[in-house]
Amino acid sequence: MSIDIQRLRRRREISALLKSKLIEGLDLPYMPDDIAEDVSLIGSGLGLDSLDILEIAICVESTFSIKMPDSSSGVLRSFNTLIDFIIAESEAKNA
Amino acid sequence: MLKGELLKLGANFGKKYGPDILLDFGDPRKELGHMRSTVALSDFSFAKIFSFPEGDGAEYLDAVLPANIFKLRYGRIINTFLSDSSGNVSGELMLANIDDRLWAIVETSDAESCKQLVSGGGGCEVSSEYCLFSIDGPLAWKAAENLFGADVLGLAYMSVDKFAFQNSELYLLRNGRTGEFGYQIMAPVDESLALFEALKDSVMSLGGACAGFDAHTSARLQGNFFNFFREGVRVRNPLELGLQWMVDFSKDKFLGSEALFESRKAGVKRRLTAISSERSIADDSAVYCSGREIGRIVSAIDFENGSLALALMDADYAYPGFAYSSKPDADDESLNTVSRPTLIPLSLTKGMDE
Repeated sequence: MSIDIQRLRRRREISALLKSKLIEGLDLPYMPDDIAEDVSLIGSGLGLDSLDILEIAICVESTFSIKMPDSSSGVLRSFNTLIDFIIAESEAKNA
Repeated sequence: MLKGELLKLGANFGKKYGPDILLDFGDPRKELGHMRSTVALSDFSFAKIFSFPEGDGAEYLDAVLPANIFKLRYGRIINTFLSDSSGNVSGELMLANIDDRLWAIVETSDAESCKQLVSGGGGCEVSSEYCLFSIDGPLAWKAAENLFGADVLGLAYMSVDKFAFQNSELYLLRNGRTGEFGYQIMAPVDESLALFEALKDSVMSLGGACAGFDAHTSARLQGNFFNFFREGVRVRNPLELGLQWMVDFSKDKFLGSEALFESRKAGVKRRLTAISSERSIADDSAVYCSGREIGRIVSAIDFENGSLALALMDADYAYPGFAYSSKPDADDESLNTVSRPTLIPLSLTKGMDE
């Protein structure tokens, strides 16, 4: 049995796109490779503040046409949990 | 004296992480349960404590550490790592700026790195002069408030402040590494027994209990916090560990910077990824995809409903949401890559509600 290469490729693409958008939108002092997939977004890790969170919501909406939930703290626990949310919402929209 | 008291309470000490650490009070899972549902009190005296004068110390530490120490404002804490000259991680460090001094709390098993850390900037090791405790859990804020008053509630994450305790003063650092509310309390060693008793009473009045470092190890794994004593001693490259956020890449130089910058330029080929399984996962076992080894387990812990691990995997495969195998020629896809943190902490959903 082998893994779904298409799904893996799609995850990689979404991750790469979001990294470059966040670096640009939040003016982060990193290159895309510097953002580890599991890095925390709030608190430790990237240590983003409430204005940054607003910027993330705008970025996700404009890039993926997905609206962030009103209470997004669960989604924004890490970069990976944000990608999980984007993929789940995209799949739900396309179902 | 404190150790005697802890032993009376059923503490088990051991060197499985390197230094002599209080591992548990007989039931690490139950202790983790307290950390996740109420509050747990832990002895952190295995951590090394160093003190530097603010001016010379900042200059020196900025030349040594990967983080930008000049950005560390009064009353704040910065989280970074100790690096050796090869750019490898040799410890985790919390640096607090208070009372015109910089206080470094270091988790390491590397004596050489500690020696190196105090080789300049007027720094000295003060581990024997201070005790260090940690209280963690959704009610940790309440346990701290009971003892030190309502000002505790205004302490922001990664901040430090001074509080009175009996005849002395202590430092309260809000720097939890479990995902729940968490504080470290650093006090003169003469106060250790009285402080421990007061903290224990406060914690127990809230339905909490004492916990060892095994429970912290599980909580850090679930909560997406670096643990030097687990993954840190097996994977030394900070880029593979995902610690780039602890580095200021705009700095020209720090200890090990040349090697680290080279490694960054070459690109990260392997990354740490969380794996869950319904079965027990063995440390140092391999992860396979279509018969090919794509990673190795560097830290695994059994929980009630299965196990959670960190694997160092080929970067191309190190994404959550995929099933891999623990055997080269088997169809079993028992290793599932997952996003961290693997839970939503109660502290995040409840906040500081009674």
